[in-house]
This record gives sequence, C-alpha cells and structure tokens, in this order.
Amino acid sequence: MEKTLFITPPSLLRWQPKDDRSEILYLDLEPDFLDENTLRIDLNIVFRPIPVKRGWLQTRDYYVGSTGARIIFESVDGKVKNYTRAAALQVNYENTYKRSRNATVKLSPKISTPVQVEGGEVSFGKGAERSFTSKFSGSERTLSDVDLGHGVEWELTLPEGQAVRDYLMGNLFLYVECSWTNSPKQGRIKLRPSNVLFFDENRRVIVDQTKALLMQFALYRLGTRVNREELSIDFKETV
Amino acid sequence: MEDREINIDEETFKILSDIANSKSDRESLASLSSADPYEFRKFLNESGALKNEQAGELLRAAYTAWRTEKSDRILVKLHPSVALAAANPQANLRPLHDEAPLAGDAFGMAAAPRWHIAELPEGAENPWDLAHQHLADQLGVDESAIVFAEPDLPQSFIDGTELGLDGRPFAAAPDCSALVGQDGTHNKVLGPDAFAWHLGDAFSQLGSARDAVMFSEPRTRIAHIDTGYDPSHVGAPERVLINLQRSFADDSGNPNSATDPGRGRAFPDNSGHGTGTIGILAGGRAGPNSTYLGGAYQADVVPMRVSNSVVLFYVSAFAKAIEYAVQQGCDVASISMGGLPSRAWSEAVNSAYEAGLCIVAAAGNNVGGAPSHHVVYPARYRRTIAVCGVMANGQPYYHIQPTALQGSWGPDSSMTSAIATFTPNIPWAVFGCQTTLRFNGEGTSAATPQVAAAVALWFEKYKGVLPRDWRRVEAVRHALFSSARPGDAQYLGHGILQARAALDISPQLGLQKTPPDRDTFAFLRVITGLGIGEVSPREEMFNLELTQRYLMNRELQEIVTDPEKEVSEKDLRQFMEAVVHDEGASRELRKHIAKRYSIVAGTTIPGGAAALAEPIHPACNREITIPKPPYRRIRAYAVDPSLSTRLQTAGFNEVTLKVRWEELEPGPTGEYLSVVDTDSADVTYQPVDLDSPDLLAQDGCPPSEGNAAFHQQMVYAIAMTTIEHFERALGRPVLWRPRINPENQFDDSQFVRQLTVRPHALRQANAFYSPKEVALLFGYFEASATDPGDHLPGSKVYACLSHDIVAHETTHAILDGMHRRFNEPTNPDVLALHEAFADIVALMQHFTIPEILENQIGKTRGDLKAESMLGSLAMQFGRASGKRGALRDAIGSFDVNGVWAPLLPDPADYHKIMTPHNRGALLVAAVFDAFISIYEKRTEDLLRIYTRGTGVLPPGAIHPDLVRRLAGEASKAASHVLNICIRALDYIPPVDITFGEYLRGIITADYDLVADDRYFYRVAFVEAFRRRGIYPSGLDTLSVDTLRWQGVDLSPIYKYPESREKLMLMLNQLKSYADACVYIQDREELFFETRKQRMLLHEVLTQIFAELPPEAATEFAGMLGLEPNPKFEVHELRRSMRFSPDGKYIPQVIVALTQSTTIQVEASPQPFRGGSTLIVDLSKPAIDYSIRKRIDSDNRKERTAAFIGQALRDPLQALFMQPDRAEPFAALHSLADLD
Repeated sequence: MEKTLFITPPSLLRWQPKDDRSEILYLDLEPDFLDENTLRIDLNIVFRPIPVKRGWLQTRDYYVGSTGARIIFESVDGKVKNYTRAAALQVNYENTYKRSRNATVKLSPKISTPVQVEGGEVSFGKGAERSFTSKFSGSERTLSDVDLGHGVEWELTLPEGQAVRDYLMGNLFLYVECSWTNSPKQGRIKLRPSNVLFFDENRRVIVDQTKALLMQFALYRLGTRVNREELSIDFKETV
Repeated sequence: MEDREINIDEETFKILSDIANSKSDRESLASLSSADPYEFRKFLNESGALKNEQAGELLRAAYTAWRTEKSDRILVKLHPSVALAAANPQANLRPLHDEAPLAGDAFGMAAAPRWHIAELPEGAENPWDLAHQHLADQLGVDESAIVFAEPDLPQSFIDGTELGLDGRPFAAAPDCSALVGQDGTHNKVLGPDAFAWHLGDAFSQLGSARDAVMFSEPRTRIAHIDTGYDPSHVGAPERVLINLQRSFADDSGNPNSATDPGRGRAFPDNSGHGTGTIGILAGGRAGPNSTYLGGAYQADVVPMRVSNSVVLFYVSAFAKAIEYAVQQGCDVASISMGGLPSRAWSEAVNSAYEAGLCIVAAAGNNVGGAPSHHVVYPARYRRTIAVCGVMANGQPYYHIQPTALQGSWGPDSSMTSAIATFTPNIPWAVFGCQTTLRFNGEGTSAATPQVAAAVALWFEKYKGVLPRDWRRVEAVRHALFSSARPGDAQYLGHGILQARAALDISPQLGLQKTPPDRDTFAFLRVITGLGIGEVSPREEMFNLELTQRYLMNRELQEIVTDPEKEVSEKDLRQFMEAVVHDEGASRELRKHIAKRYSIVAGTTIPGGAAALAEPIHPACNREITIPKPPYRRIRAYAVDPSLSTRLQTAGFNEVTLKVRWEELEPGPTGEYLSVVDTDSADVTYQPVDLDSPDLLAQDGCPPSEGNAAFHQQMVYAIAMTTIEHFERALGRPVLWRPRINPENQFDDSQFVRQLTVRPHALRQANAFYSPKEVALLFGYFEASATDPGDHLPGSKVYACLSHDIVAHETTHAILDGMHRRFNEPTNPDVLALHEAFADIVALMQHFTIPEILENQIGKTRGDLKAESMLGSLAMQFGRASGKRGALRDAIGSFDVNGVWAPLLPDPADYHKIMTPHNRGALLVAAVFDAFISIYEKRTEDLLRIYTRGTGVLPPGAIHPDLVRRLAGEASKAASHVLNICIRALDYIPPVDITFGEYLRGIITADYDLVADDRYFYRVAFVEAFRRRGIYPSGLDTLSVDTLRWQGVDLSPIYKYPESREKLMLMLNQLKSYADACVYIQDREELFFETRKQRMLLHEVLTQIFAELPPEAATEFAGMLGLEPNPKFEVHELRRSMRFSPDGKYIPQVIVALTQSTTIQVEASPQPFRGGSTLIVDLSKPAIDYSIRKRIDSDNRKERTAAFIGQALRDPLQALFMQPDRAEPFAALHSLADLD
C-alpha cells in the first residue's frame, strides 16, 4: 500500500519557489519505510551563503552565511533506533554511501496556509538507488549528537579560525531511523543556524559575531533581512 | 546554486567595510552613527539575537553611541537651595521621586539632598563625561549644590524567558494552543512530570509552607518590580492591589497601570517577562482543578512596571520603583532583573533595608560564562537576598552546555547573602494567552519569585512580632539561610531554599545590622584618591564609573579576579593602564587615572599620551547629508481652467499643491499611481518626468490647457492629495481593489500596486473609475456650440483638469478598494452613497486650498450659505455642457433665467428621488449643511467680537484679518468633517448600506474618537440629516445616543462556558494580524499579509463553529451577524491606528464577514448578501460593535427583491443590475447626464 507522509508547513527546499529562498540554511528530506513500524528519514541540510555585492556587475563583496546548525528530530511516541553518529570530520573528508529504497513513499505538503508551492507531491519509488556524498575539503567541522530516546539532536560546529571555503556551499546529510508501535508515525524536525557570519570573496570568515550582528543590522536598515529563525516542520504518516 | 543575492549601494558597502575593519565595538557602532537604537532593538528581536550574550551589551553600547534624547539624561543629587528654582529650563530638571522620600525629609524641612533627573542641552560622547564635565553650568545651578551625579544608564539583563511559546523571541503573537513542555536540551535537568513540581517538599517546600500559613488582614504586601503583567491571564494573582499599581517605564503608557501594554506598541516585542514571574510569585489557579501556581498566592501584590523588557531598562525607573515600594509599606520586593551598580540604586536599597523592605533579586544569567558569571546588582548588594539557580537534581544551574542560558554566581564575596532555588522548567504564564502556561520557564528570573514568596510567607507568620525596620530583614534572611538545604556554597550561597523549614525558625531580633551597601570596590579608592580620609563627590563618581567599567570590561576582570580581595601593586598598575586605554570609559576618568598613575607608579603610562590625545575636530562635517524632501510642490488649477480666463478669479486659480514626496518615474508613476497617457485614438503623449531638475526647480509645468504634460501632472497631484486625506483619516495605507479574475469572481489574489490614470482616455463628456481595469478614465469634449459658457464654441474641455472630477473619481477607486460590495445596488441608497461620498470628498478638498478659500470667504463676507464656488462642483464641465452653473451644487442652483437660489431641504425628497446622482445630492447637501452649522458654531465668537456683540456685519468688505481667521476655521471644520465622513466608512455594514446607517456610522465613529463633543458636531449631523428626511430605520428616537451603534451583548454566548474561550481565540487571531501589520511599510506585503490573515481567521471561525455544540455555535455566529451553516467569507480585514485629540490611542481591527445566497426576482435568481462589520478594540481586547445585515432577514429579502424587480423593469436602471456589468461607474456617470 502506498504511504504518504504529510509535511506541514511545506517548507522543504524542494517546494520553495526560487524567488522565496531567502534563508542561509535549508532542509530537505527523503522518507522511507523500512518495515511496518520503522520510518527512516534522510535529512539534507543545505548551507547556502548569500552573496552581498554592489550593483549588477561588481563581483561579490561579501557572503553572509552560517557555519553551524542545530538539528532536532523528535518523534511523538516513537523510539529512535539508529541515526548519524557524532563525528569529527577531517580535512578532505569524503563519504559516499548508496542505498536502495525499501518502499514507495509519497511526500506531500500539507498546506494549511496559502503558500505557493512548486512541484507539489514527490514520490520516491521502491528500489531506486540513491547516492549521498559528503565532501569537506580545506575545513574541519564537528558533529555532535544527543540521543533523546524519542528523538535525536545534532549540533554541527565549525572550529573557529578554520577556512570554510568549500564548506560554505556544502550539504550535510544525516539520517535517523525511528520506530513506532501502535501509534501513528509522526513527529517534528527543527533546524536552526548556529550563527550568521560574514565572509570575504574567498569565503573566509572576516568578522566575529558582534561585528556580524552589526553588519546584519546595516543590511536590515537597507530593507534586507538575513533570516536566522528556526525552521520547524511536522510530519505525519497517512495510509 | 545561488537563489538570492543582496545588492547594496556604495554607502552600505562603506558601512560594512568600516565595521569589518574596525578595531573595537565602539568603532563599529560609530560606523552606524545615524542609526536609531530602537530600530536596532527591533532588529535584534526579530533576528532572534536578543538572547545572545553579545546582544545585550551591544544594545546598551548602541544607546550610548547613537545619541538619543535619553543618552543625555543624568541623575543628579542636589542640595536643596533657592538656586534650584533658577535652574536652566532647557535641562528639564525635576525630582526623581514624585513623592517625598522617607529619609531626611521629615517635618517638611527638606534638609537632605534629593535626587533629580535632567536632560542636558549639550551632549557628550560618553554619558559619564556628561556627569563629570560642566554639569553645574549646564544645569544652571551652583557647583556646591551638586552632591553626586551619574548617567541614567540603560541596563540590560540577559534572560532567556523573553521568548515565545516556540522558543523564538516574540516577533509575532504566540500560538496559544501550542503545548510547550519542560526542556531537557543542553543538559538541563527535567523536573518531575507534575504541575508546579518546584513547590513540592522535595524541592522548595513552598507548597507545604503556604498551607501552613493563615493570612489575615492586613496581609503581607509584595512589590513585583518587572515589565508589568497580564491581568487577564489565569496565572495572574488574585489579590492585586489595583489602586497601588504603577508604571515607571519610560514610555507613554498609563502611569497608574502596571498592565503590560502588549506587543506592537512602544516596542514590537514586549516580552511578557513580568507575566511569567508574577505567576510564580503569587499566581492563581491554572485551571478549575489545578493547584495554585504562586508560592504566596494569598499575599497582596503591588505590581510595578519599570520597562517593556528586562533586556533594556533605566536606572531611574528602577530607583523610583524601590522608593515607591517603601512608601507603600511593602514587605518584600521581588526583582527578576538587574545590571550595573548605581548610586541611586544603592541608596534606594539602603533606604528599603532601613524601612524593613526585604529585596529579593535575581543573581543574573549568562551564556557560557559571558559576559560574566558574577552576580549582578542589586542582588550583589549585601542588604538584599541574591537568588541563584539550582536544578531539579540539586546540581547548580551552571555547567550546562555552553550555548545555553545558565545562572550567575560569585565571586565568593558576593555570595554571603545568596540562596538558591529551582530553575529551569518552572511553569511560566504566557503573555497574551489567557490560559496558557509553558513549562520551560528558566533563568534566575524563574527562581527569584520563589524566594520572594517564601519571605512573604515567613513575614506573614511572624508579622505580629516583627518590628518595621531593618531587623525584620535580618530575621527573615537568618531564617531562610539557616534552614536552607546545604549545597555547593560556591554556586548556591547558603544552600537550597526550604520554605517550610524556614517557618519553624523563630524571629531573631538581636542580629547584627549589615553595613550600608556601597556601589564601589575598596581597592578603587587607592586608584582614584589616596584611600584615606573623606572621599570627595568627584572621586566617588570616578569610583562608581570604574566599578561599572570593571563589570563590563573582561580585561579588567582578568587583571583583578575578585575586587573584594587585596590587589597587588603590580595588578593595580596593570589595572590603571587598562583603564586609560579603555575606550568605553569617559575621557575625564581616563585623564584622572593617568594623573594618578604617575603618583602611584612614579612614571607615565605607556602609550597614555597617545590614548588621551584630544581628537582634532574638523571645522564642520565633511560630508553633507541631504534629507529627502517631505513633499513635492506641483502646480495645478485650483478649480479648473475656466477660472483662469476670468479677471475675478484668475488671481487665485493657479495654486501649488504640496504632495507627499516619492521618487517618480516618468508618467508620473509612483507608489500609488501610474499615469498612462494614451488617448482614445491610440495616440500616446510623452510622459512628464517630474523628477527632472528643470521641472523640480519650477514646481512642475506651468498650468496650461494645451500641454499634455501639465494634464498628467495635475491628475497625479490631485489624486495623490485625495489619497493622503484618506490615509490621514483612516490611519492606514490605501489599497486598491484586487485585479478582477473573470474566471473566478472570488479570486482576490492579484495585488494592484498602482491605480492607472488615463487623462485622455475618452472622447466624451464623461469620466469614470473602472474596477475592471483598476483605472481612472477621463474624457474630453468640445464645448457646446450654442451655449459654451466661458469657452469658445467647440473648444476642448478636459475632465482631467477639473480638480473636483479628479478627486471624485479617485474617491470612487479608494472606496471600491475598501468596500467592494458597495457597487452592488440592493437599495436606492447604495450607488447614491458611492456618488455622494465622492462628491463630499471633492467638496471638502476645496477648503484645503487657502487661495480659493480666502477669496471666497472675502467675497461672501464669511457666509458659506451664499453662492460661491466653495459649494459647487465641476463648474467648467457644467457651464461648457450648457448648464448655467456647476455640474452639481451642494447649496443652491441656477434657474432657467440664470438666477441662483439656495436649495431648501424637503424631507419628502428622500422618498421621491431615486436616481443615484440626485439622491446622492441629498446626502451631499446634508453633510454640507452640517459642515456649515459647525463652521458657524466655531466662528460665532469671532463675529461677536468683530461686530461688538451685535453679530451683524457692517456693509462692505470685511477686514482681511477676519477673512484669514474665518478661512482658518472653515478649513479646520472642513478637515474635521472630511475625517468624520471617511472614518465612518469603517463603521457601516459591508453590504446593502443605507444613508441612515451611514449617519449611524458617522455618529459612532466620531463618538469613539472624540467623546467630548465640544462644538456639537454630532448634533449638527443629526439635525442636517433630519431636515432631509434621512432616518435610520428601527429607531425610536433620533438622538445622538440612540443613533450610536450599540455594543455587542455577549450574555447569550456566555451561557456556554466554552464560547468565552473561543471568543478569546478569535480575538487573539485578530491581535496577531494587527501585530503582523504594525511594521509593514510595503503595501504589497500588507495586501498579502491581510489576505493570509483573512484566510486564517476564516479557518479559526470555521473551527469554532465546528467545535462548539450546535446551540452555542448558533449563538456565537449570531453574535457575529452570521448564520453558522451557510458558507461565509471574511470579506475584509483592516487595521486602524487612531489617536484622539486628547492623545488617546485606539488600536482597532475592522472585520467584514459576508454570506451569500440567492433570491428569486421575477423568476430569475439574484444574489442576496448578508453579513456584519465587527469593530474590535485590541486594547481591551473586545468586539465593540457588530454592525449586522442578517442574511436570514425576510423583510430585507422582500425589500431587496422589490427594489431589484422595479429596477429591472426600467431599462436604464437595469444597466446597474447586470451581474457581469463591465463598467458600473461608467454607466452611472452617463446616466447622470440624463437626469
């Protein structure tokens, strides 16, 4: 039987119209049902710095972005069985893994507010093979995790002073496997950037957090807002 | 992949570069010198940064760096002397405390020095320099009168409780239905899964302690000093002493109310901090079966509001609150905030101690030890109780993850009066959500009220034996400290609060008195003076500033780790060097320390001379900042071109209008309007560029009938003037109707930013507003060949050059944007109102042009009933089309012989005249009549004075001064009448409007805004309408009181308990809309936000109807003017912010709900609509009025069917009735020619 996972609000990257993408951090996910009780969710945390520049011809003067994030997965009455563990990720770290899908799952935005959604429902076919690659060169970052029992919390931090050239355009892939017995598969995923920093054209951090705050304020006065608010989505399975 | 870029200009790039390259925060802040600290605060809040460790300090620094009126404010203690009376009035010197302080003012001798507050006319770079330099000169008092001075510093308390339910800072209204449990993240320890677990015997023992104490009158009195509270919350105390509550906050709020004013007013992010702490202190039951939340719910509570947020409050407000608590005989003060030391504070704390008021204050919070984990003031004063945090497992509220908020402690010398109690995960009443608590209250803010409650319980038990002086403070501290459960003294002071055990400790009245609290450290005296002998006031001021710098500057803290301990000579020297290089310190202090250094160390400070070099200031600013002009001057005809051809009127017909400034594209095309000049033959005229320097320098093109560019500029200027009148009266931006979707009549998703204006669109004697195109179309025609008036036969007459016609058509467009159903004729008044209203606006605009006004007042000798162009509309159009006079005249008309005669009101006309324009003329005449009565009332005294009491003007011209005064009064009265008429648009039903209902709207809207009707405006309206037979139906009498819409009777819905909660749900939804709109400047954003909120409100109401039992749902819907079963539409939603003449602020939301069905008229179905307009006062919050047109009214159905049936039988009127009629206003105006 085909299953559908309702996502509300429909804030996944895939559904956001390009013009509306004003975040420095995005979330995307793929769900899979490993068995009747277990749901696996592959999370893709997308770091996307925003270029700041003068006029249309000028090359980028600065970038504004984040170098860390907190991601919380919480189930309602579920138990986490497995998830991406803490890791100190070294320079030139690369990790590719492939897996075949177990079930066909339809991902559907549950729209409770009038939001323009591009794409609409997305289906992931059974047996399809997906490949995930994480690459981090010239930088180092640390992933820590806290097992909450019914959920898991990750914190990604970049040690200060490290070059973040490639990291800034990176994606962070995490997964979690969670099982429910006799209750609907539902929960919440929250994502929040740890900081908002400014980078030079070579994408090196150029200011501390205090100065970054004032630089954000200078942009804010110009009518530009760099969003660092928490993204929170709820998911719920319906058959 | 990059989806978004931020484009910046050179100026912003320079600012960003300056910040990036700056060497200190101070330098960074200087790069943003033109910024507004309030805007910065709003930014910090919106960006979620307020709880960052840097943000509070940065905000405080910003308040100093970006000069505000408050940054020049100082607190000064002065000897009473006669010189005070002669103080410089510019300094606004006034006593800090409203009432006489207790100490030293006995017997009215006023011998002791008193604190004053003043704003100094000359600022300084550093607020402390204000206090050190030329203070006496600036105050205009004698130097010897000054005892002490300090800046009124903004204080900042790091706190995590200023968050919404979802853990984010308050930017939008919280979701009151969300359930927020305890927070176990960051290694925070969870309490047991029970409501108010912290009260249990295993924890604070407050539950047992409060059960053990029987309160009796007079009850122990607790001062709650915070950000105010939410009295409607279930967690609010039951025993608030309402008459004693006060606000000392530095805003425009009511000084006699501690009610938290709510978000979206002075500050966008009011946190509700006080609502949370007062609940823990003495809160009521969270639900019918719940236990009490407050530790001392039986005590009397005096709430005092000192700020809008604990992140920013002023020294002065805090000092006032403590003094007031003493004056009101409070026994204990609960203070969940704090900051840097202050002399005014230390004196207030000493005064409180002497009076027996026990101050319980939060130790403070930090994030990862930053900016400091040391206890803040006033908790750090030794005559108070400092409250630290302990978690549910008995471990200190510290050493949790470094990114999380945690409690402050130490140094050891500051822990001698400290005790700990439980936090985090304490129930926290959520501001703005009547019944909602979240269970993750944290910080020492949540702990402090628990200790204050324990103090109150102990005082109550022993009040019979306790003296009212410092001994009771020592006694209760002894009881609490000696009974506390031992713990790690470094973090917990005397241990963990055991409130029940403390009750068993009897009062000991022989305890030693704690020495007076000081605001400086002993070692500083060695730095600033000799450390021996009497300390001079100047030296004391240096010491206080140094103490504040020590607490703010990490470098100083690292050199001297515990300021209460002995400091080595080497550290002392290093400390002094750091002070001299500390850019945050005042120049006076740094210079003084540099001098002292040479005495202490026998040498000069390394690099000191460079650090203290006087900056060389340029002669004047090198860069010139040119502000945007407030308005644009545009030339136009005052009336129309015909007046320029007459000798009598040519002198005043060319006027220069002041139009709100905006940058324009050629057209002109701006934010509201786009003038597109293509004529009916598809010829396009070159668009005028009003931003070109040539035109800017000469106020636009000179008036000319033959210049298309002038035509374009004139329609723009008059349409913009009309828009401005509406925006002023309504208190919100004008929005045009959404673009019509021919496929779906309910689709209102297409925003229209600009109303298109086409000055030469029609080759006919017409002009109209087109809802389909959202455009104003103006025609031109050739003057009558036989009776051309003042024109050459056959010459061109342009509608776009008539001031009246442009204003009239613009008003149609504005009205259609507000009330889209008002072009659906369901009774004879609907279309007539549209026409009449447009005429009223055009008429009243005559009185805003001084040139024409003074001329006509002079001509008529002030008699506005006489023939003049003030009461005439579209004169050129009327004359050129063969009429003797104007197209329409509100007060008179010319007969066939060309003789003007005044119109005489006939009550029968309202029942006889049915065509829209003529019927509308009745309403115009009534309003004009009311205006004349008001004008006469306002000027009767002037005329009496001028005529020496006779009231009879002598023959001949009246004096020009009188003309000017009369013109001024006429202009003022017209402006008031226009505002009243516009405001009434918010107070009328959304469909099927009648003139009588419009009158009721006028009366009610005016009453709400100006309760005191000094000039009898409302009576004038009632009388004028009555003279024309215009009465609302269903009223017994025609008095102002009965005409006012009646309030909403809630008793039918309150029969059902769940309805009350649902009503609050709905009102909260409306508040969230209002909050969301407050700072929206962009009209498109406002349009879409409003549309989104309409949908959300629809969802909420649908849910309410579904969840309530059927009878309750019917009553609820009835209260809203709806039937619960048929579908309904949230047709309109508008926010309004109005200020009455007496300064009263009226925040309102106007909701129009409509429902549709069909009725059969001559066998054909016709739409029939009902609904209501709800006027919601957000300050209460409550529905003030529900102005209904019920869809189930059989009478109205019959009336509507009869009207439509009759209209359908008339082929001309049938034009209005076609459901798909393309241009209703075109037909309407064409019909006008047939009247």
